[in-house]
Amino acid sequence: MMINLKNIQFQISAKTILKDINLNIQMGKTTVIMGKNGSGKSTLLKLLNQIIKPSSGLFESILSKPVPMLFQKPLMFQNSVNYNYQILQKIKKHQINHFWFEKFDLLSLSNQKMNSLSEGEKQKIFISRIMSFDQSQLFLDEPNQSLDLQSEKLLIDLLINEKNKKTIIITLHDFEIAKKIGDYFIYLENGQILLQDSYENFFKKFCY
Amino acid sequence: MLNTPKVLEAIGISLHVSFVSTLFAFFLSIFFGYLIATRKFFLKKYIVSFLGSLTSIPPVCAGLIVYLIISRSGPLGWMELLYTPLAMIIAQFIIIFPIMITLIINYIEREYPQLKDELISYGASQKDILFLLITNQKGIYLTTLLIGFGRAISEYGAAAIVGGSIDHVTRNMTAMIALETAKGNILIGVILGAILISISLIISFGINYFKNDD
Amino acid sequence: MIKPKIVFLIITLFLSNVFARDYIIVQSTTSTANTGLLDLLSKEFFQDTGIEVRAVAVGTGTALANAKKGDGDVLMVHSKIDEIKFVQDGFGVKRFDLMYNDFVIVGPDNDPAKIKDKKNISEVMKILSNPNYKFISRDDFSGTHKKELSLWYESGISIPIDNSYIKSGSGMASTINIANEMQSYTLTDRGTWIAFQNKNNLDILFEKDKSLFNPYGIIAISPKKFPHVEYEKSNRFIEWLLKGRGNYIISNFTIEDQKLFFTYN
Repeated sequence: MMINLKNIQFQISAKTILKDINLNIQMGKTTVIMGKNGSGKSTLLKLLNQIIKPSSGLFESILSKPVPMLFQKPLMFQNSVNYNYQILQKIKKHQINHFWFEKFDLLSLSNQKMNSLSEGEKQKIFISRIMSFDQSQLFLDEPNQSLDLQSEKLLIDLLINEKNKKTIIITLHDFEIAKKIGDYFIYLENGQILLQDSYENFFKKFCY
Repeated sequence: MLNTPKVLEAIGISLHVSFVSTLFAFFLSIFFGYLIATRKFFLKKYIVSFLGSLTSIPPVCAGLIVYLIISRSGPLGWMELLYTPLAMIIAQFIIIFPIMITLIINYIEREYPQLKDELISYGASQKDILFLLITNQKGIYLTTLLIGFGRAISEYGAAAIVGGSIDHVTRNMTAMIALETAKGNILIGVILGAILISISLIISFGINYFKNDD
Repeated sequence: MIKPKIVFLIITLFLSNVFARDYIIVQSTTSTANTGLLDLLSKEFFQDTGIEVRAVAVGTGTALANAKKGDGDVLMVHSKIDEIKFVQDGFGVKRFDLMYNDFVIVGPDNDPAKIKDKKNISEVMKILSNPNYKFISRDDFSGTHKKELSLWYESGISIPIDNSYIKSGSGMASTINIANEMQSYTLTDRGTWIAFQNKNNLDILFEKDKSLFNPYGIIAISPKKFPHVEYEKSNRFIEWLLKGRGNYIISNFTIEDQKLFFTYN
């Protein structure tokens, strides 16, 4: 057990975003959170990473503080590609791993301005930014958005490689991709968990 | 026909007064704008609304308010600020500060929540967050400076009332335009007006040039 | 570490104000400013004595009000009745006759009201009160406005209230401009008129009635009432204007070869 949520509720100024959340995140496994737009996926992910605190309920985590997370709309800092990639290094003040940066073939973009890149290229930079830290837990909010098929395939292959060494919590829309990497699935609707189960059982129960 | 030394003097006074008032308002806008935008506190909505309403204060009113305070018969009369450039700076500050702080507050309220979340996940300290907030989007700050400065240098009424349009001392460009027009020298008023707009244009181009060079 | 520096800065800022000011503030009228006389006198007095003159040209009414609040060292306006009262009420030390010129009635050069050949101002005012002819009033308690009001009063005519009597509520230049736009009549001091660059087809149509006499007075603001005034410097300025080189400058001040102000000696 790595993160445990019991009867968690989260609301902002009288609006309830998450309700009756009970779940366990297992260490070393890949958990996929799915659901329609506005179902509360991003909020749940933020809560799991301790970016926000629950309004009520029990929250336990073996992590003492948040880890660098890929948000749904990652932040662009200024205009230089290099600056955006290395922003994390500046804050954390230790060396970063350029593996993902090179794998995504981003070296050629190093000297360009962020504004001149396509959405897909920007997204690859944001992903490499998070992955450059070799952390054991990955919190990823729709990492495949804006990516072309080739880049998406590359992303999935790279994530599959990391699966055994890391705990991954990821939100996705695409069920086919989810099946490729997920061990445990959670389906959210209107802020509540409609269904959660491991791979074998989830897709038996779930009609989509 | 155009008295060049006098015109240069007026330009110098305008630039001096408006630069200082703009810079002063700028730093206070960032300081208080950050505090107001990132914290919740009692009366926050009212203070923000009040600042917003002050953006449309007529220059003459701002001038009158300052005049009443620094006049001999007012509470700060003993400071002998009336008819000095410092009085003009204060009057212009009152006009542009609400505009600038409202812009800053809007920007921070828009950008800060997401910036904060993401940077907290990176383990950034409050200091890091503040630093990045300030250095991140230079564009908004330059725009705020430009809008504040534009309003300050072109206003007539505030600086005129508390400055007295005194030759060599407090007769800035707008006061000179008013005086020359009062003498019937309409053409000179137009020329001075064109010079004023040109100065604003130069500064505007300069700022936009540096903005896009980011 | 920072605190002592800030305190030091603030103290020096104030100290510069606590000791004697090296300038005097003169509350004056727009007519002296519009002609350029005020700027010239300030410049020349500074050259002769090293004392800076900060002249604020706000109009007689405002100058009087400001002076009564202590916002000045010297009062230089053209409304004798108010000036005398000013001294009587203790705000000023003594009123001196500084210089004079006169007021004139200007209007469109075709003179629709035919006031050109009239014998005295009362006749003129009577004609101008006629709703057929437009008259622009300053309506701002300036010296000119007060003179206009006294002319109505002396002529025994009540101030018109119909549409032909237009209140500009603004300075002399703006009022003359309105008179031009509306092809109407107005009262102006000769100094402003001579200096005015935008006359178009307006011209002087009536002048030289003794009621149109326009005396300027100068008064030092009372140090008894306002201890902060630079009384000694003010007196030097007044003397310079009455008996010194200032007097010469005033009487030799011309625009386009015309004298704008006359001195008493």
